[in-house]
Amino acid sequence: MDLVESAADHEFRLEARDWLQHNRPAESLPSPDASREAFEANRAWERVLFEAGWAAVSWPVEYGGRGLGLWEWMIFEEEYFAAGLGPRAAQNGMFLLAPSLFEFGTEAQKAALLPRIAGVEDMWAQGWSEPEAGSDLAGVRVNARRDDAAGGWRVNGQKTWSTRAPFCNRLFALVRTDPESTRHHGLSYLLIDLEAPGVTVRPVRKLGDQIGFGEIFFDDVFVSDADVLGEVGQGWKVAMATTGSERGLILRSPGRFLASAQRLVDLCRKTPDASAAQRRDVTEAWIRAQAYRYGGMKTMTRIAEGGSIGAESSINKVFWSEMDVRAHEIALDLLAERAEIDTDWWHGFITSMATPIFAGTNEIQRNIVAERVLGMPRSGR
Amino acid sequence: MRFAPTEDQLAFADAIRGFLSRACPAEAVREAWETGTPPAVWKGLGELGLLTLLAPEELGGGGSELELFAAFDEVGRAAAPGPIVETAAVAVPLLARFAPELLTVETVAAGVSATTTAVMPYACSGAGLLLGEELRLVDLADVERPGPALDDSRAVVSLPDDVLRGASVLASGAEAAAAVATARHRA
Repeated sequence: MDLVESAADHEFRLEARDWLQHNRPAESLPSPDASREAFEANRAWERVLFEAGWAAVSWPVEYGGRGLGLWEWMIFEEEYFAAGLGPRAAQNGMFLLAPSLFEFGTEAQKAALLPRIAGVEDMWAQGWSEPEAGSDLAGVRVNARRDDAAGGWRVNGQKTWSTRAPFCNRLFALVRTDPESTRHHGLSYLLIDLEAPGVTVRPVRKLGDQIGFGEIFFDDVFVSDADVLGEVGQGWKVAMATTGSERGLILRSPGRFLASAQRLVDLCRKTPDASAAQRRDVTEAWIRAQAYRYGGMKTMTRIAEGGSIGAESSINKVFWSEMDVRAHEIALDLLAERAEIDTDWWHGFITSMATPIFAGTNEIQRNIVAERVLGMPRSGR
Repeated sequence: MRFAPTEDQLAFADAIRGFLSRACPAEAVREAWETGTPPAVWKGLGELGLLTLLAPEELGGGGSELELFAAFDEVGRAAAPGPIVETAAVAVPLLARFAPELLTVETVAAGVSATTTAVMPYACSGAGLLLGEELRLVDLADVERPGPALDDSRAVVSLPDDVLRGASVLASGAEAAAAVATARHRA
């Protein structure tokens, strides 16, 4: 085991830090979920990132990346969040769709889509949840009917809780292509154009007033055969590659929580009357973020040596979501009566409250851990 | 001993509940995020006598804390926005005791907020009490409109130093401290 950064890695870290210091936006960016303007401001910055070759550190150069490995990606993310930069407008395409594209996409799909993701030309939303299906994706009902004459599928139904969908132009979605099928059989992974005829996107205003969230209605929307990712009927398998990334490391890089733990430490330093118990809470939050980082390094070592994330990503999801909620609770406690008017922290707090629910509820994650990691009997459903 | 509300106390709470169910539905609470305390709710609670329950009788008071608490249940149920507890349970009895000349119909109509720190809720009220070792009063008329808060209907603002320095002392000493402590517990 070697936990010391190599000279080459350290040099890369300094290069990234230096570039970010000189090129980051002068004013801190609003959340890309807040409004159309906020989304476009983030997108413009992410284009700058792309043009300098920093958008997708671990992707091959031909797809718009920097041609480096996962270690460099993790280092870059640490520097990115430490520089005060937040989650990206393009994160769904970058971190959720791209892993499935790399694993299941045809050469033509990869060549056409990946550079447009890195270059923020296509902005992707995720079409997983439905009114009757969320954490249990096997309940998906949106259906696609075969249209042989046109060479594709006709999609009907409704998706919901789709982050940034009102601002995005494309959607990766799990739909039922076999009407006779049940559960996770007979699903396919479609790449849908949100500007196609028959698509209606309605914004849903969130607690905290952000409108980058929505429900999507399909009325006989045409999707060509070229826009099916993986084989027809194999959507579950393709989606699991995405879901593993989402619940696992990629959506919540350690850098994000290290930066948030550091902000908590800074807040505590500025709170002279913090009690011993509060200082202990802050220290524990900082330790949790470090533990998450080392956990991430362990996972990446396994991936680098040919392993995969697998069901352990569910442990990760439970850990980072509970860590996120707790860090914000500690901050509000330190702020005391100022908590109500400290926009950053209370906003972060109500956003964190959603994390045990989204990306698959923690209840579902615990079932997965019990059954697939610990080998316990299946729960009654 | 009888640890239960009287018929009169229940009737008062019922009146508050009936009024708020008409005047303060969920839509009115949401509107208050943008526009502050709904004037109709404030006026109606005043007319029902809730705000001045603990004032002297000539100002419509003479009630007890028992009526007040039964009514606050209903205020909470409706999530009614406004410095209701601050005015009725804190400001009115403290002003009645230490600065009766300030306790007028106009003062109550404008609302009086209260805080134990420099962070004042309902900054759109006419005045605010600072509950420390001393009892002090700040004029909120010139305080800037608050920025966004977790619950915008509460209009929370961190009072600037010059406003705090300009606060007038209404009462100090052991008697004031004890009364303030009682008010804090009541709120």
